[in-house]
Amino acid sequence: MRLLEVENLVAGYNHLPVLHGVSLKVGAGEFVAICGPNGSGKSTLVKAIQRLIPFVQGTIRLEGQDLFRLKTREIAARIAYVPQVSEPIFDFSVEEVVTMGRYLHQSSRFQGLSEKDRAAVKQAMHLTEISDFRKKKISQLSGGERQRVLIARALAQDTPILVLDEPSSHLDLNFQLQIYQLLKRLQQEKGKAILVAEHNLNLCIPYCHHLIFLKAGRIEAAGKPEEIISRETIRQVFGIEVELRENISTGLPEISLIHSASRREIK
Amino acid sequence: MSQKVRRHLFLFILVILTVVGFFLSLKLGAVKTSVSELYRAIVSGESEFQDIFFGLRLPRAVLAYLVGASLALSGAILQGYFRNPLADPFILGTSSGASLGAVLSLELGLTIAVSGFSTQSLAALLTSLALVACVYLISERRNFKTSESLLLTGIAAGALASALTSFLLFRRADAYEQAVFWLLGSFSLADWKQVWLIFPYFILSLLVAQYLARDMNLLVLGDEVAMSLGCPVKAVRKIFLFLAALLASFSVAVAGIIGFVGLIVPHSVRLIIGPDHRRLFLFSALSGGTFLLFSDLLARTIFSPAEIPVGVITAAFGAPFFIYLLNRPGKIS
Repeated sequence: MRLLEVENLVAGYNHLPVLHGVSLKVGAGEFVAICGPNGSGKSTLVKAIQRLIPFVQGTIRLEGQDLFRLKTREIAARIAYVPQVSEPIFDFSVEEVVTMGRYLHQSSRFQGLSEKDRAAVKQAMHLTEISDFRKKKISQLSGGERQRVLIARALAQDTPILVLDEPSSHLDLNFQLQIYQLLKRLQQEKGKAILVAEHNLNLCIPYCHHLIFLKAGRIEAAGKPEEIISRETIRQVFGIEVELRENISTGLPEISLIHSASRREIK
Repeated sequence: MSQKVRRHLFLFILVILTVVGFFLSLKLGAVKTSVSELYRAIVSGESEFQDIFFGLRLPRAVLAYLVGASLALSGAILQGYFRNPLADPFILGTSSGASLGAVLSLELGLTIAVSGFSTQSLAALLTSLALVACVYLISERRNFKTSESLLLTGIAAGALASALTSFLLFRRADAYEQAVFWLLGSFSLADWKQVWLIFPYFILSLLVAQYLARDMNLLVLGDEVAMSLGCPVKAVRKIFLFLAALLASFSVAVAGIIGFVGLIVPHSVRLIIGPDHRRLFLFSALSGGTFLLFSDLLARTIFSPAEIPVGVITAAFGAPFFIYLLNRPGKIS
């Protein structure tokens, strides 16, 4: 049984579909990346599989169970979501935000945190290396630190699946790499299944087992990165000509942009 | 100073202020009374001013406290609900709806007697709740981004109700004097019946809000995030909206439109103790009560024996303080 099975997913906003029949599977401990140009439906896809948007149709099974029959908290017990970093409106502290990941585990509303809750929060902050500034306010943090806080909150939620929406946006090269190395560690050491929407191909190729190319709400190609990445696929999906080369450290394909002025004919 | 010490100090100051506020409210007034008279009235219950202390001044002070607490709690709920630190209890059109109801009942010469309610109070309460219900039903039809459409529909409906109120007042200049009670707010008609009327709703609302405070903490992060963490967003939103509308409507029905309490109190409390709603709700209610207790004390003593509308006091003190908060170096929220 797969952790997550999606068949013929149609989803969008205000009854206008953004996704037109998407199917995918995520198994335990797998690292799956969804890539595609802006507006291809990456964010909609990661939200739809958790029923976070109102218009979702198709078949979605979470651990074999029909998503549409599950309660909000039952979905939250299986999938933790790391949204894109945004400006905080109310300025909670780092520890307060991470503790919110324990919402569905807290049985009593008037009692404080249990020992188990405390341990989960502590470990999540330790893994993401944010323990040192746990008393700080979110507004005082950099983009990379905020991203790690959101990942820590998702870890505290203690779910088999971790879904991330563009975790590398707003981050510099160093933080982008750090985040992906952290995700890899979580996948290998904690056995988490990871599903990530990412526009930066070169960043996710070395980390994912399975790569899905999304274009205009449909799957254009899917498979192991080294098998499906070709100049033709990139042209089809992104509409640009690129060169491929081998990454020095991984031996995996890497996209090399062509910067000459004649890259595209001006009509 | 740690959060915890700050919170305890704040609570301590609030308790002291509340005690002082109630004492002064009993002591001061148009009729000169001494502290020893007050002491005798409390201890032996044999003072010639017994009625003034416990029939006039005390219910008025308690009512002011309850209304202040209700408005501040309603404001705290709505600021979280709309994820906007500038939201206030009247943003849904409750105030305009209530004043329309009051003026309309004066215009039509209605008399409906229900225990504890004057005709105008009852009309104000009903129109206010009806207006919020309309606003909710209209905005619910668009299922996408409900809270934004709720906000805008509320403002539009409020403007319409205000226009009707102005029109009615324009036609009947003699009704204006009575209408001022609603338009600027006053506790001059306070009695124990009104206190017992709003007390159970206030306590119930506070308990429910406190019970759902953790959910509000998630809601302010955004509906999608709240859902992904396991919060049943739709149900929680409905309950909070109902509580906020109920608190605001009852407040307006017994005391008219008292501005600024529901806006600046939760906002200021958040600056002092942080945004965690498990504390924010309770502390906002306590602070709002204390703030309005002192405001009403000023309203009836500054130009004693004449009274000025309490809404004038809250705005006169609230507005400059708010401008100061907004211009403070650092963040608004």
